[in-house]
Amino acid sequence: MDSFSNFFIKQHPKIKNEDLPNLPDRLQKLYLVLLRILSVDPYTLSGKFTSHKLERELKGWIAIDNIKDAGLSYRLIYRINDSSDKDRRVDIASFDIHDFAYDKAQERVYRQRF
Amino acid sequence: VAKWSDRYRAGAVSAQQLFQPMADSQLERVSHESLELSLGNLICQVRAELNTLFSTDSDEARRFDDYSQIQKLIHEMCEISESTQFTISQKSNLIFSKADDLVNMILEFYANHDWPLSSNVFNRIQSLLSKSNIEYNSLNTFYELVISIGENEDVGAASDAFKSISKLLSNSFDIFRNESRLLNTLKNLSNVYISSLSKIDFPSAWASDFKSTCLKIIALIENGGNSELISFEVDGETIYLSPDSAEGKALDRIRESNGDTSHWETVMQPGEAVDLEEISSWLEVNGFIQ
Repeated sequence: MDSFSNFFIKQHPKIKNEDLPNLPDRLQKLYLVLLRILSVDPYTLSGKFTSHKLERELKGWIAIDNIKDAGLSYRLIYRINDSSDKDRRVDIASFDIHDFAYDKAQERVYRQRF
Repeated sequence: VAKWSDRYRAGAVSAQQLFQPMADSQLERVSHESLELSLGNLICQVRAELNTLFSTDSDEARRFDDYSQIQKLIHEMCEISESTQFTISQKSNLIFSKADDLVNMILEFYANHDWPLSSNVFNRIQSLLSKSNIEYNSLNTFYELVISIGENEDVGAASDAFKSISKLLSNSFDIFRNESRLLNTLKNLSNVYISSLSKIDFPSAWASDFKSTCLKIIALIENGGNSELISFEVDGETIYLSPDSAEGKALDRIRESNGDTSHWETVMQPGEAVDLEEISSWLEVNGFIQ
């Protein structure tokens, strides 16, 4: 049964020109699938992927975090803008390989918080 | 024949006199191999003398006296080694490994005898290492010494020490930029340093620059020397992200956009039909979900 998209999806222009051309075919196809999932429910991703909120300068942004291909981890980084009913929007900043250096920073923020 | 150390302590001979031939302009005529050998022998000899001096002398007052003299000797040795390097640095890399030996010897000596490291000697060592094609032994020994300074909570000295070792690491990276084997070792060292810092749990910010340097070196090495890393500050500490990573790109693009996404492309609109069952089976078939 069909669902319907509830959000505008906007992507940074470099996703098309830089990110996608350098990704394996399989991940390029996955990106198109992720757009559709995000358009329906960017909060829970319809239970198909997990995500976490980013911190500090990336506060307000979210990373889809269980994307793997050939043993490598990838992230799609997006933000939900739902402050106005007329312009419910998901902005996608990047889709590429995950930098584990970021995890270290994130861990530190969590350690201090709890 | 009186031992060299006895003669030195008695003021009968200065270090400058002992080592003068190395700094002499005659160097130009000496083959690099024999020069290396001479310096190597000299270092072995000095090491043996210093060890003898201290293993046979248990008197504390005497030790203190030796300490100031040895400090002086080390200064002079460093000076000569530096000038030797200047003289022949363009002609031979072999000598550099001996400078490493010299530094290693000095540091071992300080560690073994539990001496404080004066800032002058510290600067000397740093200067020697930064000019030479250092090997890892001395960098490591130096680091251990820095850690011991930190453990003793000598905050001022530790702060200087960490600044110095940061510079050393950066210099090492520049020197080894094109040698992947050495870069890997440097990366491993940086990881070890970061790990040891977290175990010691230094209380103040003086180690943070050093840690940032280690992180930067790791990031640079992992990115094939690409220096266009994206810096990201977390609680006063800088993390370096690869410009090719999702996180690095996101930061770069978000900063560039400055909150304005009006030029971003709209690729979907509300009201479009989406078949979630079809999506589920595609994800399963392609191994993205179980």
